[in-house]
Amino acid sequence: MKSPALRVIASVLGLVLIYYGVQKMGEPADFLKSIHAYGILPTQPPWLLNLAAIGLPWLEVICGAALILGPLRRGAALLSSLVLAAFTLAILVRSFQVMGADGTAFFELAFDCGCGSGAVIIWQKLLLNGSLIAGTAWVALRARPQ
Amino acid sequence: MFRPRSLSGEVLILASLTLAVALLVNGLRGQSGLDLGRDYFPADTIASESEGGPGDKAEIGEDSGKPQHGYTSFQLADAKDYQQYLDDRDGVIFLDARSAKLYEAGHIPGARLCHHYRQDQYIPAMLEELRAADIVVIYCAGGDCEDSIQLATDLVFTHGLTQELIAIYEGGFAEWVDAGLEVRNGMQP
Repeated sequence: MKSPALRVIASVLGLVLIYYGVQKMGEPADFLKSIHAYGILPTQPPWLLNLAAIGLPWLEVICGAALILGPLRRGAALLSSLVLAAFTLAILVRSFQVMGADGTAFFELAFDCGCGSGAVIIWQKLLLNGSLIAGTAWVALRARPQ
Repeated sequence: MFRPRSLSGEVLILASLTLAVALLVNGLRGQSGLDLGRDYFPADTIASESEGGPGDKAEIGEDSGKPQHGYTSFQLADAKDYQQYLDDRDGVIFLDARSAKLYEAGHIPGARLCHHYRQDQYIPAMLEELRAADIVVIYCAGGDCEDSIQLATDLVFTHGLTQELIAIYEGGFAEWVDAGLEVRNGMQP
């Protein structure tokens, strides 16, 4: 990757990913509960959900570091965009569930998405995630093997 | 230094590195890490296996995703008349299924800490007492929190307590605080 702009964008994305990864590491049980609440992964076999809870924060941190440092940048960008897309879809689905359950308007929706930052305003979170997905996908497409 | 040229090679290296680091750190965490093989959501598992649950009553709530339980409920009215509730019964034990940090910040007076995700640290020492109790009331944060139901399911299906022995305070600590009831701080029940 020769472009300074790409390098700067990759570094910013990397820092954001590291921040969110570290936020989720404090109490593994809390993140486990968050993943379980989405109902994306089955509770059986248990190791699947448990492994996701201990692995995803580290995936964010390691991909974030790779985005900043350079080697493996393409792979890190691709993995990050896929994980972010899966999480964003899950947040969207849960948003519709909450709206359907208690009639909250979309722009007033706020809940703890398990993203490591407590309760958040959902439309803002979706916008942020959309930007991160676009950014990481762009880096994945533009970066060259180093 | 080895530099993979393919995108799939990079992804594979990152995934392997993540797996290795995550497992290593989780192992180093000791008791504060997760037990990979343990089912932390037994109420869900039982409900999905039996289309029932504890006592053929539990099922996954269609609206909230929270398991609906078949245990007795401890109600807000009971909470407001807490002392009377205790006086009317022999051997009432309150269990707080939340984390030690939340317990220390405030809990129902008399409640014992039994964090659902660290229950192995607490249950063995109190198991005989729980079995001998008249009723075991379990609560967690309230709202969407289901840790009290998961802990209750473990007590019944893993530790052999009878379902009739257990009551769930669904309103949880949030309702208790909202009702302006006494809260105790620190690690002492």
